[in-house]
Amino acid sequence: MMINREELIRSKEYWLENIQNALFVELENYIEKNNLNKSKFAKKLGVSKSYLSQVLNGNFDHKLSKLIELSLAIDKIPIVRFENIENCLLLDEVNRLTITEKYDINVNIGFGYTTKSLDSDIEPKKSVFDEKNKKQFTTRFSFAERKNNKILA
Amino acid sequence: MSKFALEKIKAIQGKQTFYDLKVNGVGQFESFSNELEDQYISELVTLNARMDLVANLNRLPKEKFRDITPKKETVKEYEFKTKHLRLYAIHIEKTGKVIVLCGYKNTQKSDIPSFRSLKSQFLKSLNDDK
Repeated sequence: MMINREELIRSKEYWLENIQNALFVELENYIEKNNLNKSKFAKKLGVSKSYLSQVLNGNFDHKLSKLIELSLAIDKIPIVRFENIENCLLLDEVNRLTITEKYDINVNIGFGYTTKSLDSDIEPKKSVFDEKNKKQFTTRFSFAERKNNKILA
Repeated sequence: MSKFALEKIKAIQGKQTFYDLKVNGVGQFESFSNELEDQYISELVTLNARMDLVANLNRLPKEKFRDITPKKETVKEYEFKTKHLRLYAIHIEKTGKVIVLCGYKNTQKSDIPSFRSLKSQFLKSLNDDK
């Protein structure tokens, strides 16, 4: 079964891999930055060397409390954010557009915020977004506008 | 002689593009995905997720994705791994990663030589086209 982009983003495997990898990258960076070997690092974390290897192999699928403990041990905090899956799919689609196309649809997403483009008269492209998505865009856009107005005020 | 073509793997989106190698019109990754037994579907989704991470230039543990390029070989070779499945890929400059062969863990001994043979034929076809 060949899967498409939406099926991938809707799969539990996709998010598990992303979270596991985020943890793996943070731990590896910490080890490198602090010049630690795995035995010393396992001791610092209060876990066995084999457990640490398992985490560094990207196989972390344990208790939530362990994720928090590991994060705190490397001077980090894990931040959990729940995103509506439709918005997530929409953002994924927008991020695939060229900069010109993003301006054409009046949005510029890249740093986790939405801003008005230089040319605010251009209507969203119907070929790219269906009516439902267009509605979501309008909602996001209005929020950005309100936020900008608040900042300017 | 086999005919080769590349087809974008649309599920994977990132800074690097992933392609499926089509041999005589048959996509290696597509046919493997379509013929896979149900018990391995979850692992196939995981492989897609790992390709997506690589496409977005993330570092992965070597247990999930590793460089298997032999010494003196100029075109890089990579292996994506899950518990039972393997994907073999190459990197083509200015193009992206190409999935050349897919297989199972228990057939990797014979799959790797087949992968390298296909890779050579494909690269030769690229040079012949120039």
